[in-house]
Formats: sequence, C-alpha cells, structure tokens
Amino acid sequence: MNPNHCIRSAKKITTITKILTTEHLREPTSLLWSALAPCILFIITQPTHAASTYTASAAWFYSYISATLAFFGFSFYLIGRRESGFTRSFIYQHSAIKLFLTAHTLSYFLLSSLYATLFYLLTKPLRGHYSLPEYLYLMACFYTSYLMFTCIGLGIAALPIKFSTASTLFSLMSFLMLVSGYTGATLGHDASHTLTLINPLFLSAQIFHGEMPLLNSFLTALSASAASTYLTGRYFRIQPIWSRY
Amino acid sequence: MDILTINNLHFGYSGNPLLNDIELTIKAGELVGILGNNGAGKTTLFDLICKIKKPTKGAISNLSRRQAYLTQILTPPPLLRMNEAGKLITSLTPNVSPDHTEILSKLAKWSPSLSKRYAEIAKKKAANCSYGEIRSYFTLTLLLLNSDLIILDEPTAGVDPEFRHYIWLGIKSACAEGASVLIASHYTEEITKNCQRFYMLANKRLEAFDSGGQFMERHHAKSLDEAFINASV
Repeated sequence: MNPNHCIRSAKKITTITKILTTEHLREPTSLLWSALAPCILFIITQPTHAASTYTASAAWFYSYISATLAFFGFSFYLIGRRESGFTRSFIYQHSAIKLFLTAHTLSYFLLSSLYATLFYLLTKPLRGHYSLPEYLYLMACFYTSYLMFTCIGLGIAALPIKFSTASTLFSLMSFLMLVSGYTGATLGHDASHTLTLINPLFLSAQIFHGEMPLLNSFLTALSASAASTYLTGRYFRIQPIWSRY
Repeated sequence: MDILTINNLHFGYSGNPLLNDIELTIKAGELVGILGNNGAGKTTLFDLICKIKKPTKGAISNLSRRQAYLTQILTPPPLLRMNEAGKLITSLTPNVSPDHTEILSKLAKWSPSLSKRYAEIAKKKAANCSYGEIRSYFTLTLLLLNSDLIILDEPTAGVDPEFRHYIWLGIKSACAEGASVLIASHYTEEITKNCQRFYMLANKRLEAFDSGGQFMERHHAKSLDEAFINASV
C-alpha cells in the first residue's frame, strides 16, 4: 500500500474521530443519563452496599454505562445518520464507509473510556483511595462489556427499521435487562433464573465479579465485535428506510 | 476522452421499469445538464452512476478517480457547526481536500462577498441554518474538492438568486479546471443557458439536445417550459 495514502487516511480518520467525539460531547442529555446519572445513583445508594467491595458494588453501574453507550451511542448513531439521509449523501463509497466506521469506532472507544473513567473518579473516593491496578482491571472489564453490547447494537442497526422503531427497541431492551436484573437480585434464582442467565447486563456484571474469566471474555467480545463491525461495513445500509429509493 | 459512458442501461423497481435503454456520455471538462420532471428517474440515474444501485441491464463506464456527488437530501448533524460538517464531509471523500482557509481564499477570487457569506454560514450551527444556506454551503464545498467528476442533483433548488449565481460560477470554474459536471434540474432556462449540452429524461428514456432551440423545435414549443411539458407527456 502507498505510504502517502496511509498517512492521508490516518489524518482523515483523526479528523473525523475528533468531529464525531465533539458532536457527542455537545449532547447534554447523553452526558446526563449515561455519565452523571449512574454516578449520582451510586452515591445515593452507597450506604446500602457499603459492606461489599467497590468492584462488586459498582459492577452493575459500569455494565449499565457500557450498555447505554453501545446501544444509544454507538449503534443508535449509525441508525440516526442513516435515517436522516446523511449516510445516503456522504457515506456511500467503500472508502468513505471504511473511514467513517473506523473513526466512529475510535470515537466511541474514547467516549466509553471517558465515561468509565469519570465514574471511577467520582465514585471511588467514597470507598477508599484510587488504585491504578484496580482502575485498569475495571477498564478491561468495562471494555469487554462494551464490546459485547456493541455486537447486539450492531445487530439491531442492521435491521430495516426506522429511527423511532430503533429507539423503542433499544429502550425495550434496556428495560428488559433492568427488570431481569432486578428480579434476579430480589427474588433469587427461581422463576427469573433462565431470564437472568441470558441477560447481557447480568453476564457483564459476572465479568466484573470475576465469575467469568476476563481474558477469555475479552478475546471473545473483541472477536465478535470486530466481526460485527466488518459485516456492518460489508453490508452497510445506505438508504434510509423511509426513502422511496 | 469520455470520463463517463452509459450504454443500453435498464433499471426498474419491483418489476416496474423506470429507465430503458439509457445512453449518455460526458467528456473531461464538459458541463452536461439533465432535465426531467419529478419522479422521472434523475436521482436513480445518479445512484446508478455512483454504484449505489445496480442496473438491471447495460453498462456504466465511470473512469473518474475523484468523484463528488451532491444528493437532493442534505441533513448535516444538527449539533455541528457548518465548518465542522464541511470538514467531516471533505474528510469522507477520496480527494486531497483543501482546508477552510484555502476554500475561503478561492471563493474570494470569485467574489469577496461570496467568501464573506460562506465564512458567516461556516460559523453557524447546522440546526440554525436555512435549507438554502445548507444547500449552497455544501454545493460550493463539493465544487472545491478538486474532483474530476461532479454530480449535482438539483443544487439550486430552494437557493436564493445570489447564491444561485455563485453556484453556477463555481460549476463553470470547476469545469475550467478540468472537472466534468453532470447536473440535474427542473429549471429549463438555467440548464439551457449554462450547460454545453443537455438531456431530457422522460418516459423512461434520455433524449440528447445541443441547445434550447433544438429542444423547442423538436417538441414543437414556443418556450422552454412548453418544450419540457410536451417532452414529459
């Protein structure tokens, strides 16, 4: 491959990543619900889980942040840009699709790292001193969880659904995960047992608890996410679903 | 040399033919118009050229290496400023894109007031821009991307006369620098006045014309609009 072409592509990816990240950070509701709301809830409910370790207490919160970013950020953005007609206008060539998906993936890698770091910085002082090994472990678990949720999100983004339908579907999934998690935690392992076991939020919390091996989980999630992203690029939906074209 | 050649092209939706036996050529540096009423298939033809759709039959030879396509629907991300949206779009093209300063200085050569208006729009958030401002801004940006084939789908629709004037100025400048431009419009007068030659897309076929006079004569009309109506029925 031509080195000049590689340098030019790298510069373009950097520029697009910067713009997409800026755009996301200008969305106040996203910052509030994905970043600040979990911090506030953790601080409010802190006395109820003071007996357990920080990792055990915070696992569901990190899982929630990763799911919200993967669903309502990473995947929903693809549907939003498609349904607004932007994709149809500017991201229809193979080279543009590659550049866009690479930059979009990088942008959400940065944003997810930022949100998880923000949560750690704001909540950890309630339960002791900052610890670099703990932070790195949590980030590895968080990113494994995020990659897992991007696979589900990309699956939904590949469906021929309108913006409003996608919004309902993501909200429904989040609600079902929450209900399943809540019943699993309050009723123990009875009627909700099977539902709990297939709940991605529960599986994600298991990674944080160390009940699922981190390295294997990470490699599986990374491979699945890479394959999903490749397939998304290969069969990229360009036309808005509402379009007569 | 023809940069774009279309031979015996056929296309349809769900078994209903929309384009039949389409023949089209465009040379390097040539400005060619396409007239056609709503739903005639102009956008579909452009999508076929840009490989967004596959033809049912026929061949398209597109030799361009740096193609730019301005579609009818332009919806930049509302939270971005127009210069950011412009940078996003130029970064997504395969071309070596000029930066904002280079664009402004190039526009200033055409007209200082155009450069000033472009710079003012660049600072605005996309959500606060009018349809005409968005359309003008992106058309002018795409025209300055050093493309060799520029496809414009109704670039002057909803645009004020001042910007319409500058868009045509930009189109002619791009052609003078070697780009081939294929432009669709409903405005018979601007197509016949500005394009070197044009086609009329009607009844699933493309009909070639060298001048407005030939268009009126062939369709037994006293005005360009009458010729358009006669050709469409």
